[in-house]
Amino acid sequence: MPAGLSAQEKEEKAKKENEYKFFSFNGMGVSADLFGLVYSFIGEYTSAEGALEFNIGNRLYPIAEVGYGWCNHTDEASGIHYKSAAPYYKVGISYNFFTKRENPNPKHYIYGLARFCWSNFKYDLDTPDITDPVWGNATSLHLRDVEGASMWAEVGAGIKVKIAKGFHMGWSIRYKFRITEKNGPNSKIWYIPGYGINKSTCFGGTYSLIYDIPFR
Amino acid sequence: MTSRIAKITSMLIAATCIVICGCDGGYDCSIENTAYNRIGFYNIDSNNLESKYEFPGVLTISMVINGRDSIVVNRIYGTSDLKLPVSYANECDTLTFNYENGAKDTLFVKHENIPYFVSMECGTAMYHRILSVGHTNAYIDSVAIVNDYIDYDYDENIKLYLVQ
Repeated sequence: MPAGLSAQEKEEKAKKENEYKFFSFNGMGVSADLFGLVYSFIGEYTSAEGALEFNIGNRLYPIAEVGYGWCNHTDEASGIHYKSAAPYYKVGISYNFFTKRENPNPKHYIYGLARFCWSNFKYDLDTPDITDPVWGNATSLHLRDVEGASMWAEVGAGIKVKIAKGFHMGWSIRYKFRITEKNGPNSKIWYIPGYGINKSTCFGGTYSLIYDIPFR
Repeated sequence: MTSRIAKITSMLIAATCIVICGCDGGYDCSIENTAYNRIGFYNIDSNNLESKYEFPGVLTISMVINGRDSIVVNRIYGTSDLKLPVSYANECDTLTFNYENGAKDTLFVKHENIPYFVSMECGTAMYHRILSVGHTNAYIDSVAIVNDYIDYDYDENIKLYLVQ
């Protein structure tokens, strides 16, 4: 702050700095999702995910997320074994409801989100014997490197809170709905990296640590 | 500010509950656990070839199972359709139609076997694809494969045109 400014000038300058600009580029943030790693303790699959987001006017956050999902599961009841590991990608936008003209730099965020996501992957599948009820013969299925693919969308909401200078922590809940699926000739996809168990809709979440890269 | 956060958080929790309730809970496994070859009878002499034909007599059907002729349909009367098992391992199933008057017809159904993983919950199914159908001509005039894929659907696979 240059010397010689009056109190009124200082106040006007501060006011100008805080003036809300809808399309101002305010910086970038990188984040890591911890939920996917924790989920492996309660679910059948695991994922690790990172994201890069851009801050437009503290309100709009275009975001690109890249993750890696893997599953190596044997069902206790049926004895079927399914294995897959592949990257997945998500692009979309978050909208911060807390940024107002009178409060352009909120410390805490509540936001809505929309994502378009996709993954191309391969999977292995082994089934126990299937016995012919009439002839009595048994046969089984052992598939390797079956190609699958899926696209899906996610909508949801989340919260981010400032935990230290430059750091936020937050969680989000996401409603996922499958748009396309490409199955193998002898099997339906059971697990989609980044999506979860292959159902027409499912529910997911993230718990992220975010570092805000300052722009100015 | 605090009350606003509390209000929005409770709205988020309510939205979450709605979303969870609306989620796809899992697979609806088929009630069927065997894929049958579904055969419909039609009268070649009828004016309407699309209309089903009730075979006017007693019919017994046997199949060659592990080298032995085994009855799979015993003395059925007036039937217009059948659902018959398909071998998981053989490439061709042989069906013998034994008519009441001692006449016989044989149907040879050549097929491909397709093991298919449905889901962890529903397990693995065995589907089939009909490649060709051969037959003798005592009462069978001709056959038509109308749906070559045999799965859990109730769709007819083969039309059997019989002489009166």
